[in-house]
Amino acid sequence: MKGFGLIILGIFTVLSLTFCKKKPINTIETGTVTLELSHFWEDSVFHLNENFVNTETADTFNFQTFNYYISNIQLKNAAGNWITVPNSYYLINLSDVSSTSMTLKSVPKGEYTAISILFGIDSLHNISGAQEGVLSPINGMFWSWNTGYIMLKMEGITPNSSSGDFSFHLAGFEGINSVVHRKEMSFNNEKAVVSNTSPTINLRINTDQVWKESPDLATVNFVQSVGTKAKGMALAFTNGWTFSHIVN
Amino acid sequence: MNKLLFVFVSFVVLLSCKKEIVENTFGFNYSSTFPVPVYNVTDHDFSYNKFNLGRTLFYDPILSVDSTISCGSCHEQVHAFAGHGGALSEGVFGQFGTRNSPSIANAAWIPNFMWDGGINHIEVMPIAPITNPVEMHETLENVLVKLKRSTKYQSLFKKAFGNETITDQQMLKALSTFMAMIVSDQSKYDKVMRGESSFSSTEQTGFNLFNQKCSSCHSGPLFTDFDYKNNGLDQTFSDIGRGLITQNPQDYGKFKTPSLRNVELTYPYMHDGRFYNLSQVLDHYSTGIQQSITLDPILQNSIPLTSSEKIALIAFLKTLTDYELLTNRWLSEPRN
Repeated sequence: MKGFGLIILGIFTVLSLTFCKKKPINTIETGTVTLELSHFWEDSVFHLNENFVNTETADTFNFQTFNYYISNIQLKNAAGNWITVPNSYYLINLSDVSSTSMTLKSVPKGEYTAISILFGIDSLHNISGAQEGVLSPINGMFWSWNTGYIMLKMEGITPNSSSGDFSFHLAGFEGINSVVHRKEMSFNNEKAVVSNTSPTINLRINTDQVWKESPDLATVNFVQSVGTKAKGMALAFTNGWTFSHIVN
Repeated sequence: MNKLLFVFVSFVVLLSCKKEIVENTFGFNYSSTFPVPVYNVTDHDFSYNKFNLGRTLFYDPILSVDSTISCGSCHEQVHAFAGHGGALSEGVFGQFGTRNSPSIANAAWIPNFMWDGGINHIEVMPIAPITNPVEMHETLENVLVKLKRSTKYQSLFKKAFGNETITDQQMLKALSTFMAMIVSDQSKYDKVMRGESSFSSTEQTGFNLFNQKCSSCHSGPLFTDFDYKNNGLDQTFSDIGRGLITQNPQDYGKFKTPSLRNVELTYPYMHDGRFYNLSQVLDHYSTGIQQSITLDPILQNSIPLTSSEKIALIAFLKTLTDYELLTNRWLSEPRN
């Protein structure tokens, strides 16, 4: 009988430990945030396969490809601390409208006053071998010959270059050749409130800004290596990003 | 090649036993004289089934656009997994690139791949030859379409990764598992270093000369410093090498120091395969150095060598040939 009692005691101990284990400690309640990206050229809505003129060089661009990566998104909470949105890697492909709207998941409930975006992919994911999902090389945003993700890929046709086209692949993540920039955008006096409802943060992107630092297309219509040209254009791209408004 | 021998022996002994037992004995091992590998396969869910999938893929021309060329076409086991004789290797439709295909033996220790070091990880290395228009000229998407259609690969991927999906990431991890297992550490040199054999007097003379004149770049047990050097091949550069990657003029005309393991079999030599034998290579360092702005300082005054010194050096270099690697059946094309 003594043995039987011990067995019963053992079972209870195991059961109680199992139940205790299941209780999570320090649960942080989270919600979601929608990020909505609106692309413009000067004051016009930006589209692929439409003509846009660079007012500085008078070059006409007709974009067939406009793809870029943003990642490692952070939000600034009421206490002034930056919260990193886990696994926030996004490939925006302007031929697919759905890619301009994304849901940031596992954001702690609270009020946020600013957003910070990494343009391109962090160096860790550039040096860690074969990746999957939006970071798969199949997406055409990866250099096979000089390892690393393309931050911004722009291709199209133009009457202004001798070949009749243009192709800019802005990449490089190391040292002086890095095109990867982080930019913070304050919500000014607005707040993104994450509760049981999900706020939508609207950002405006002026794609014409990429070309503000560029010579005309007759001079340069092709960049597919690291260097100062890619760096300058990448930084100009981030300059085209501004906070628009929030819908809570 | 201890681990592969071990597996082979295990297979023979356990022929009648369950396959799982054999697979459990499979592992990644290397000579005690080697450093810790850059790509530690045991950190990457290494398994016999991934190795087997990678081996099958490595030798399968399905990776090329017209199913004519496999990885093994330009990385042949009998040449220590280097190109086979021609200065440049032939891609699909009879096309040639601009560089000689190097040995991929000891790939797990290579920090940066290709002559210009442009590729920073073994897992993404195969993307370059698969997609290069003058090599396999295929797309990763289409490779996956072909693999998914194949009942053989459906089964191999399921065994390797445990689910029904076939992704590029899985394919690349399997290929790198196989490549990482191509370990060359059983040359006469290795046996001498482990006290299992001894050099002839000529080889010993060559070894001493090597340590005086060559080992500052061809250093350590892998016989390379993995750095980029201009070794005086040309006064002007038709291929700027490392400069393509960094866009830094100080890197123009520099190429990765190649390992000298199995150098007897990895001819022709240099990034463009211009030298067909070791005598030509030593003649170059002795009397053929061309001056240019990025020439390595060590080579400013060449490396003068007498003819008897050259003979001794070549005798030593031949001790780096690993005959076990060349005949290891686990690394050879699988027989279906």
